[in-house]
Amino acid sequence: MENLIEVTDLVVEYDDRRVLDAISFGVKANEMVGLIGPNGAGKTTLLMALRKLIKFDGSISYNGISEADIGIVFQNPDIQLFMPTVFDDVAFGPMNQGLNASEVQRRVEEALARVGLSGFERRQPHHLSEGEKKKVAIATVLSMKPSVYLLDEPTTGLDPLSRFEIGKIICDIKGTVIVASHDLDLVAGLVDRVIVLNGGKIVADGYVDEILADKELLVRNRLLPPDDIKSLCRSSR
Amino acid sequence: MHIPDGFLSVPVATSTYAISGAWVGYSIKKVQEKVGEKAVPAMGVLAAFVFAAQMINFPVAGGTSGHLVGGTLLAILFGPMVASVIMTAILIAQALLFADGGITALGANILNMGIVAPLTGYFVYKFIKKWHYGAAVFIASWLSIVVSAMFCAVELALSGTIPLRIALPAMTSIHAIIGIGEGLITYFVVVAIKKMTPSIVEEAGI
Amino acid sequence: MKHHFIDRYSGLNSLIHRQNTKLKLLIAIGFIVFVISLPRIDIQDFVLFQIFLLVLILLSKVPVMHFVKNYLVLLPFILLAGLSTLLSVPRTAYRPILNGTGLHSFLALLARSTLSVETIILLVSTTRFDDILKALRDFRVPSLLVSILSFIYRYIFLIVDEFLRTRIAAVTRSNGRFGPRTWAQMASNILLRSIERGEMIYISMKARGFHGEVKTLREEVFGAKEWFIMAAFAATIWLLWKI
Repeated sequence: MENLIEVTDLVVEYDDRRVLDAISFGVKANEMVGLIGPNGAGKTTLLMALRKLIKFDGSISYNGISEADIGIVFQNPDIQLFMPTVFDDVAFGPMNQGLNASEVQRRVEEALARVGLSGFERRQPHHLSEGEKKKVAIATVLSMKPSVYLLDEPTTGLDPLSRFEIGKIICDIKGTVIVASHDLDLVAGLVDRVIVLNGGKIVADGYVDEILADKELLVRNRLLPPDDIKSLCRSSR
Repeated sequence: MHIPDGFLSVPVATSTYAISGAWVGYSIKKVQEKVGEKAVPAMGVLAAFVFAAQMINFPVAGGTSGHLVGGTLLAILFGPMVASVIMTAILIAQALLFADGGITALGANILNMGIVAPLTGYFVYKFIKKWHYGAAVFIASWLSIVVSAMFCAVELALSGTIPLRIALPAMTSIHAIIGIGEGLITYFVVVAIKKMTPSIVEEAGI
Repeated sequence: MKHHFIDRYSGLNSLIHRQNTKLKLLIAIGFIVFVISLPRIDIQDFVLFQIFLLVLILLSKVPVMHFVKNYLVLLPFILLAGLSTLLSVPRTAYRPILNGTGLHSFLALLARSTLSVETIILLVSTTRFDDILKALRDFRVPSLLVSILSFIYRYIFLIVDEFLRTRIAAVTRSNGRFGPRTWAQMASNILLRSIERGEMIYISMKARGFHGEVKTLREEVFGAKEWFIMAAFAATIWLLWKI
C-alpha cells in the first residue's frame, strides 16, 4: 500500500543551524506512529514541517490529502487556546472551514464529549487546570475532523491519571496519528511503530517492543536514565 | 491622565471621538495592509504585554511609584500606527473592565494617550536619534507624556471644566515630573531590547 | 495567582446577568451619555438616579462592597481633577450648574462621574467580557480592534503572572533593591517572550485555517423583548429626571 505521507531528505535550518537533517520516512493511512527523542531532538520542528507550517528543503508529499486535512496539537496549550472561551476555541477551526452554525455547534459538543469535558463550553481557558487545557487543546483539532493528527507532547506536565485519560482519548482517534513524546509508557501503550529522533536525525525506526527493549539505544539517546539511577547514593550517605 | 465621564462637554467629547475614530480607522487599514494576517496575534500579545506592564508599578525616588504608559515604547519599536491601534485597544479595555477613563471621554483619552503621545514620541525620537540615541529615547518618551497632558488640559478647558490658566500649568508641571519615570523606563527597555534583539529596533517603521 | 482582578462577578446568575449583552451595553452607554449631556443636574436628580442604580445593583446580586471598593480606587483621580474646579469659578462655564459657583460645578462633576463609574462597574460585573466582545463585533467595531481586546483578555493573566514571578526573582537577585533599571530588564525579557509567543500563536491559528479574520459564532438575537426593555428603561430614566 502506498504511504499517505512520504518524507524524503527533509532538511530544516534555523539561522544556519540544522535542526532536521536528511529525514526520510513514510506513514500509512490510519497508522499510529510514536515519535520519541530527547528535548531539542527536533520533534516539534518535524511535526510543524509535516503540516508545512515552516520552511523546509527536501520533499513532503501527501497522497490524496492536503494540508487542511492535517491537524496539529501543540505542546503548550496556551499557544493552542487563544480564544476567550472553550467554545470559541473549539469552534475556531470549524468556523474557518466555513461550516454552518448548527454544524459548528454539533462539532463542538461532539469534540468536547470525546475528551470528557461536556458542558465546558462557557469556561475560560485561564480558569482551566493543566490537564483540562491539554484535553481542550485536543478537542480544538478533533472538531475539525482531520484525517491526520499530529500531537506534540500530549501528556507533558500532567499527573499520572491525566496521562492515562489523554492516552484513552488518543486511542479513540480515528485516522492517522503521529504522537511526539518522551512519555515512554504512553508510547508503549499506544503505538506499534516508533521513530527515534536525536540531533535532527532519525536514529531508529521500527517495532515498538524491539525499540523499547533496546535499553542501550534508549540510554544513548537520552530517553532512559542508566540503571544506576536506582542506586545513585542510596544507603551510602 | 484618564479623563472620567462628566469632565468633557458634549462638543469636545464628540469632536475628539471623530478625530480619534478617523485616525485609528486609518491606522487599522494601514497596519492590516502592511502586517497582514499576522496582525491579530502579534498585536494582541503586545497589547496584553503593555496592559500588564502598566499594572506593575516600579519604585521611583522617595517611596513613590510610577507605571509605564507605553505609547512611545510601542511607537519606537513598532511604529506610531501600530502604537495607536494597540493603545486604543488598551484604553477601551481599561474603560470597560476597570471604569478607568470614561466611555464618553474615550475619544479624548485615545487622542491624548493613543495618538498624540505615540506620534510626539515617534517624531521627536526620529529627529534627535541622529545626535544621541539614548537621549532621543528619553526625551521622546518624556515629551510624549508632557504633550499629551497639555492636550488633556486644553480639552478640559474647552469643556469649561477647568480654566486653561489653571489646567495647563498644573497638568504640564505634574506630568513633567511623571514623564521622567516614563522616559527612564522606556530608555532602559529600548536599550535592553536593542542589546538582546537588535533587529526589532531597526525594522520599526509604520 | 488568583485570577480575579478582572470580571470577578460576571459569572453570577441574576436577572441582570441573564439579559441580552447588546441590550445591556446600549442601556449603559445610553444612560451615561444622558447623564453627561444633561444641561444641569441637581441633588434631587442625583439621588433619584442613585436609588435607581442601587435597585439594579441589588437585583444583580453583586456585593455592594465591590462597587464601593472600585469606586474608591477611582475617587482620588476624580477628586483631584474636580478640586481644581473648586478653586476657581470658571468664567464661561459650559454648563451653568445650579447657581454656577465653583462648589456646585464641582458637585455636579462628582455626580456625573459617580453615576457613570457605577454604571460601567455594573455592566462589567453582570456581563461576561467574551459576550461584550461579540456584541462589539455586532456593533461593527473594527475586527482587528476586537481581536486585540480578545487577546488582551486571554493573555493578561498569563503575562501578569510572569511579571509577578520574575519580580520576586529580580528583587531577590538585587538584594531587595528594585529600581527602574531592574524593572526594565524584567519587562524587556517578558516583551521578547511575548513577541515569540505571538509568532507561535500565529502558526497555531494558521494550522486551524486562520486567514486574517477571527470568526466567532454569535447566537444572541435582539428581539421585541429587548426593544421593549430598552423603551421601558428610557421612559423610567426620563420620568426620574422630570420629577
